Amino acid sequence: MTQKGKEKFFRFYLPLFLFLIFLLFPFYWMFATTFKSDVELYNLKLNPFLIHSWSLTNLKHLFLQTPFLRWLYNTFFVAITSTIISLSTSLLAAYGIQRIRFRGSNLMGIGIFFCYLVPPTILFIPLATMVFKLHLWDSLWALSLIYPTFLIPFCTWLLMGYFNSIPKELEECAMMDGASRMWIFLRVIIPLSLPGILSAGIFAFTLSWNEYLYALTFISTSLKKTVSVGLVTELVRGDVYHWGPLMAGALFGSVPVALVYSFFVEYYVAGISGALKE
Amino acid sequence: MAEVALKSVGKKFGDVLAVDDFTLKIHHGEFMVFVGPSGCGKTTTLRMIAGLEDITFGEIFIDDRKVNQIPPKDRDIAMVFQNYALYPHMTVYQNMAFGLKLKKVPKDEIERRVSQTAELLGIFEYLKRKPRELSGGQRQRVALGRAIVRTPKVYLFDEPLSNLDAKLRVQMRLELKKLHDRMNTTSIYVTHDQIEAMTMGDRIVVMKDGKIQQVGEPLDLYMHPKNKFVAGFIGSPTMNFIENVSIEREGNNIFARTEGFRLPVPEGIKNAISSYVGREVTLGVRPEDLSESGSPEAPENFKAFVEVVQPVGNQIYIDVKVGNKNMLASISPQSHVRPKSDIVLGARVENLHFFDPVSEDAIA
Repeated sequence: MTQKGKEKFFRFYLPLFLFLIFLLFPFYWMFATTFKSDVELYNLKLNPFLIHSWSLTNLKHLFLQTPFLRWLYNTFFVAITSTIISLSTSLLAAYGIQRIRFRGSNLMGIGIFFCYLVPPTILFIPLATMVFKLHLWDSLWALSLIYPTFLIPFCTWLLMGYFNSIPKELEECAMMDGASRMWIFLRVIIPLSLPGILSAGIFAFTLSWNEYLYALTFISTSLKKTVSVGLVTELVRGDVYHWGPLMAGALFGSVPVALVYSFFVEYYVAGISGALKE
Repeated sequence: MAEVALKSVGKKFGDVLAVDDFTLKIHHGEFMVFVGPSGCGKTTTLRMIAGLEDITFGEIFIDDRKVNQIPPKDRDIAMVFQNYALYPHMTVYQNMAFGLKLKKVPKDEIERRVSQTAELLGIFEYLKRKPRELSGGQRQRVALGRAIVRTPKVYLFDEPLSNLDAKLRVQMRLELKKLHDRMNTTSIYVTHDQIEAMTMGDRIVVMKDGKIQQVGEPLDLYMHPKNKFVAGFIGSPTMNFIENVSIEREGNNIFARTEGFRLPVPEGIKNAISSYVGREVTLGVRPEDLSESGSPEAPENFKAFVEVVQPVGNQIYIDVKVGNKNMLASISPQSHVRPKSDIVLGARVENLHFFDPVSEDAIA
C-alpha cells in the first residue's frame, strides 16, 4: 500500500468501517436472534454472535400465533393516510406562508413550528378527550388524524425551506403569462419541489411508522394495533420476553422503512439540503 | 405598440420610500432605459409597471388604460428577468409555448410561432432540450424568445444581460437592439451599467434614491448632465470632479482657479456663472476632454505630474496630480508619457462642467 493509500485507509475507511459496525450491529442482532431456536438463544456456552443451527420457529410463532400481518397492514394504513393528509395540508400551508405574503404569515409560520415543540407526552391527554368525543377511540382513523399534529409542522417547515429555494421570478413570469395561483402551484411549484415533497413524505411515513405513544394510548384491540405497539404488548408478557418472535417482528417491521429510504435516498438528500438544480 | 405613462408614481416599503414622484411618458416603440446604482428604485418601478408590486401613490397607464388595479396577466406585457426564470422542468419548446398555451392559442399556431421565434433567435436546434443543458447566452435567448413569442404590447427587461460574461454581453446588447429595431415594440430596460444604457436606449432615465435625476437621449445626458450625480454616473471613465474651485472675474473674462491651474470659463455659461464670482464651485472635467499639449502658456493648458500610466490600447489613461488634486486623463496612445514625470495637459474648455457645491446642480 502506498503512503497515500495507507493514510486514506486510516483516516477514512477504518473509521467508516467502525461506524458501520456500530450502526448495523443491532440489525445483525435482530437477524441472528430471529433465526435461532430458544434452546440456542439461552445457551450461554455458545458464541452469541453466530447462528449454530438455523430455525424458523420464531417466524412461525410471529406469523401464525400473533396477528403480525394484520399489524403490518394497520401500520401501513395509518402511515399512508397520515402522510397523505399531512403532505397535502403542508404543501398548501408552506406555499401560502412562503409565497402569498399575507398579513401575519410569518407569525403563522412560527406558530406552526411551536406546535411541533409541544411534547406528545403532554398532548395525548387533551387529545384523548377529543378522540373520545369524536367516537374515534380504538379506531385506526384516530391515529391517522392525530399523527398530522406533529407531521404537519415538520413537513410545513421542511417545504417552506424548499419553496424558498425556488426563484420567485419563475412564478412572476408565469403570472405575467396569465397563469393563476393554483395553476402555478400545480404546474410549476409542485414539479419543481418533488425532491422536497418526497423527503417530507419519507419523513412523515417513517415518523408515523415508528410512532409509539399515541398508538399505545388510543388503540386497545389487539387486531387494531400497529407493529410497534403490537410487538411489545403481545410478545412481552409480564416479565417474560419472547425474544425470538420479538426480534423477528422488529426485523420485519423495519424492512419497509429501509426499503422506502433506499429507493428515495437521492431525492431525500436533495430535499433536505434544499438543492434545486436549474 | 403601446404608450406607457407614469404619473407621480411612488412606492413605500414600510417606512422606506423606494420610488418617489416618478413621472414619465414612454412613447410608442421607444426603447427606454432606467439606469442607476443598486437600490435606486429602478427595478421597483419596472415591477410596478409589470404589476408585480403594488403602487403606493400615483397612476400608471398603458395605452390610456389605468392599470393600477389590473393584474399582471391582463396588462399584456412580457418581462425578461436577470436570472432568466426558465422553468427547469420544461423543455425550451414548452417554456416558449407556456404563455400561448395559457392563452388557449391553437396548437398549430403555437408551433408556428415558437419555431419562427426560435429561428429568429438561433435556438431552433435546442427546442427539445431542458434549460440546464444550455449555456448562459442560450438560456437568455430562450427567455427572450418566451417574451417575444407572445407579441405583447410592452417588453420589460430587468437587467437581462448582467449574468453573462463581458464578451457575450456586448454581443447580446447588439442583438437586442437589432431585435427592437425590427419589432419596434415599446421596451423598458433596467440596468445598472451606464454603457448598456448609453448604447441601447432611445432615451435614458437616470435614477438615484428613488427619484428621477434626469431624462434624456444618451448624448444629451453625456453632454449636458443636470447635476453632479448624472455627470458622474454617465461616461466611462467617470468625470473628474475638482472641489473648491474659485470663480474670478478679470476684465471681460471669468476664470475658474484652483491650486495648479486657471481655466477660462467658456462663453456659453458666462452669464450663469457670473453670480458665482468670488465664490467656490465644483468643476467637472471628463478624462477625454484632457489631452497632452505642447506649451504651458496657453490659457487652457496646465502642468501636471504623472503618477500612474494605464495603457488600454486605443488610449492611455494617466493618473495625474495637479496641485494637491488627483485627476484622470485619457490621452493619445502615441504619447510617450512616463510615470513620475511632468506633463502639460490641455482642457477642452467648452466641455467643462460647473456644479453648485451645495445643491450639486449644474450651473448652466
